[in-house]
Amino acid sequence: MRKLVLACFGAACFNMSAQDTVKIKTALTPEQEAQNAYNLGLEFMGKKDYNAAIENFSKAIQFKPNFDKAYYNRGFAKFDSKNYQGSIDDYNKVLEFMPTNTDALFGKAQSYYALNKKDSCSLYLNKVTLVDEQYSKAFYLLGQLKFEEGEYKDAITEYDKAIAAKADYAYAYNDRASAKKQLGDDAGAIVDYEKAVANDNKLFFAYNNLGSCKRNKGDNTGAVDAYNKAIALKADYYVALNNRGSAKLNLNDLAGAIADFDAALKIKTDYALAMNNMASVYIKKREYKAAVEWSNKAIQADPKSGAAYLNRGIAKQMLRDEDGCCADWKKAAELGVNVGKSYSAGFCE
Amino acid sequence: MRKIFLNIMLVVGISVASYAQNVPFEKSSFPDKKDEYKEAKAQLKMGDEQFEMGEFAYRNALPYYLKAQAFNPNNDMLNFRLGVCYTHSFEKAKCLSHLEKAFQLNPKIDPKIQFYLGYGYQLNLQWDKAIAAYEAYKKTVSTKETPEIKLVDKRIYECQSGRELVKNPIRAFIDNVGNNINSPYNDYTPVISADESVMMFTSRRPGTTGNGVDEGLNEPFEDIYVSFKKGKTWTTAVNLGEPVNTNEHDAVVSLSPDGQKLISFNGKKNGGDMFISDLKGNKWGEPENMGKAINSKGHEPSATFSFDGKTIYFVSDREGGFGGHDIYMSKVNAKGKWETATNVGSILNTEYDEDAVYMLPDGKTMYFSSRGHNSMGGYDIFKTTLENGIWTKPENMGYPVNSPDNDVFFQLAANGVHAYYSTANNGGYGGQDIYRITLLGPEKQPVLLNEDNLLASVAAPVSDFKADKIKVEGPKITVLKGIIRDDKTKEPLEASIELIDNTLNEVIAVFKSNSTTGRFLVSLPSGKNYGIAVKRDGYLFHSENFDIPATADYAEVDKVVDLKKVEVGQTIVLRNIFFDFNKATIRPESANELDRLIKLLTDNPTLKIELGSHTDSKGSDEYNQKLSQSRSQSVVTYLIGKGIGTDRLVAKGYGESVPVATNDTEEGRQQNRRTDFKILSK
Repeated sequence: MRKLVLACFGAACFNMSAQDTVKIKTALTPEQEAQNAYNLGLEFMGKKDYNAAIENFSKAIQFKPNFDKAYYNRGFAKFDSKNYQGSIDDYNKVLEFMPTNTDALFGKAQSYYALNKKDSCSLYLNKVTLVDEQYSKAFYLLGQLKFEEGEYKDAITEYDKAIAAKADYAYAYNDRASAKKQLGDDAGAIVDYEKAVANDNKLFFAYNNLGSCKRNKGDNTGAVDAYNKAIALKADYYVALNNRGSAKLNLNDLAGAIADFDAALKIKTDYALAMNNMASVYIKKREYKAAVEWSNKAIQADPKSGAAYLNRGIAKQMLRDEDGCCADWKKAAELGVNVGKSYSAGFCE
Repeated sequence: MRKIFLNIMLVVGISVASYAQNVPFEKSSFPDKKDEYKEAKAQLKMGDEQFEMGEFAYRNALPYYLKAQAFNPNNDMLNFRLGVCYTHSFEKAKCLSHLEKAFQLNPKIDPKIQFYLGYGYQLNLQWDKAIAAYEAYKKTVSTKETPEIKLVDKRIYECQSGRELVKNPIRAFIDNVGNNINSPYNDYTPVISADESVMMFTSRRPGTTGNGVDEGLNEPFEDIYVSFKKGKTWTTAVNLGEPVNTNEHDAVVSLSPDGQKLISFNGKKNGGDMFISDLKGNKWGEPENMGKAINSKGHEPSATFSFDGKTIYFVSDREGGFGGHDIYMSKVNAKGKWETATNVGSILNTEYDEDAVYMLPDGKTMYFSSRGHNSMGGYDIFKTTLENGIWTKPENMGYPVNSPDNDVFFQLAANGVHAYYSTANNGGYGGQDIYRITLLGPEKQPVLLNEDNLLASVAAPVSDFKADKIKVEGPKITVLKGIIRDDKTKEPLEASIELIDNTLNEVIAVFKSNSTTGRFLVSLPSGKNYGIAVKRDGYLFHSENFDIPATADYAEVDKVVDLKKVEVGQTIVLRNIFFDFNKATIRPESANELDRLIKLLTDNPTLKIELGSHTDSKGSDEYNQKLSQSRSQSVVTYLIGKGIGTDRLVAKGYGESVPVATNDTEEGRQQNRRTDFKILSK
């Protein structure tokens, strides 16, 4: 009977008796504790709560001292929270377990870069590429190092390798284009910028850079089109607004140029470049007083703006302020705008 | 109809009235202004006397005519003559209004009215009207009058040139050099040292050396004046004095780049010769005639040195040129004498007059004035450079440096930015004045500033963090371990541990704790509801329950079990007695626990116990009290059914009144939901 009763009620027993069952709190093994803490750390990384992530990775390591993944990701979290030396220490721990771990080697390289220790960065990047010839990010960062040193041809070589390892590496296309641009190869740069945006049409900066190349080649209409795309992707992109204004000025669309410079200044109120360019527009409009006022603002925002001094000098010359004009051109020349010297020659005593 | 007629008459009447009619200079025209008429007529007569003396006196007639004009502005002939006089003055552009008035009053006032009108429009930069007037005049001229036709064609060509030149004016400031230099009289032909520190010029102001007066023009003779630049200001000009200035016309021609040699023009001999003076200290030496190679029987009004002083370019109207005054060149020989001059050729020289040559210190750039080439009227200033021994095609300096009037004596400073010239075209202090031109060059392009985000990782840093969670897996087992002790002494005990499958009501296994340490360890695979019973003779049994889901991962449970002796007052919680939810019905899983209780009571036949039932705090006190009482009674009833005497059992429901844990957590409430028994007596 009891057994029958049991059979009848067996299936339903658990749920209906659940409230009366005493459950005892259980303990996890160290391995489980480590894994749970690690997973929690990952969740916090996803939320960009780096301190909480570090705390949990540390806990994971406490439970499992040889937890290489925890070390690695803690290193990552430290990097993102700008504790670069701390991240290096953690990557070193990973490398103790796995000396050829390319991610840890690359992580170290990135940390050294952030610490402005470019030689160390380069050293570790080369270690990465020795282990893995297809580690595209390493070639990319090597390219960046070369770029920043002004060694554009070498930079292009590294970007070539990055792209060979990762054919859709939009960032590498952009940077290679920029290196070509710096070498004066605007045509080559345009091709690469276009590849960059073909691989990632959200690269607002690539559209901007493309526009600037086109502007350099005199294709101001094409430049405006490219800047339009950049701005469509990033509405507060004052850099592109300022550049588009310059292209419009070149097209003699002075009203359009003013509108763009104005828009840039609304976003970045101390943008000396746009202030200077406003002065340029007003020189073109032959409204020299307004040009002087804008040059004054540009100089206040950036006292080392040789261009602003030069432009102010141009405006002052037309306003018959000879002394002011000459002082400004002299200052422009001192600040490296050499045409100020040639403007002064003969005119200024 | 009449209304329309009246309206037409009104329009015609108004039209007629808007054009003035000629007012003859006769007494009858001014019946009420006899005295004023008399005076105006006298002025007119005096003006006529000057006018009839010829072109050279036209401008002298102006003051008289203007006074007559003030009285009678609507006389055709007076207006015409005023216009003509102005064309021979230093205010030529003023001719237009009078000529237009004359033409309006009387289109046939003079056969050349259209010619003069054309000139008036030309002087006022109204090119299309000028061309139209010249064309109209040309139709009145016989084709046999070739010189006149040629002159009109020249004027038309000048207008066409002017129209083009004015479209693209040169960028320049033109400033009067001020009244330290300029006077109410004619001041012209400025010459400067290369560094602009010294200026000499010709002036017809009173105080000329010898006080000579040009009777025809009623002007003092020309004298040379000098001024020095101090900072940005010119000093008050002073007469250069003797020996350079004489009782004759003395005009400045050229100053060497270093300011040490002066070429002057003296009008006394041979129609005018050029002389050269050297500066010794601060005194100019006696002017010396430049010799026959330079001075001819003709007119040599202008000259300029090359930068090294070994070549001179000068103007002469000697025979053998291309027409009028031409530019010539001469070189100095080893003996310091000027060699025979040569004409510089037809690239520079035209059939019209060339004059006012000036060579830049660069040795190859020359400025000169010409009535030919593409002048827009009178003399214009041209620029040419010597390239491989050949002069380039002269380039008109452009508007506003050049005008339809005479623009001459252009001197460019070595800095290439400042130039000086004289003109009567810009107002000034009176007559011709000297002006400084500041050549601004092509429009200066303002500098634009731009930046780009060249490096992608700087423009948009990307964190490529990617990591997958670890699947936490362990054996699906719960390890129950611990120690069994005497409740009072805490001494470890050896005891048996029964592992029961509550669902099946079966004892799965029986373990024993260590007799020395009291330690035990039982492994409980996941997926069952376990009852644990710890037993030892002489002690009340201890009950535990583990309901472990199938998905439960590895866990460890540490438990200390303190066994209690069978003593009055001791209470044991029966963890494996289960009831239906909210009811007092005992569930089948409780069988084993109840059997243990029955055994206890059977083994201890005098034992009397209280069966207590407890709830958590959820629900009302009354409800909980009632439920717990029912449940305890259910247990009692069951035990009685199993043969335990009713006098040995007491059912008591405690409700929520005796909690053993907090009711704030589920864990605590689980602890509080229990059935226990208490020993009442042995």
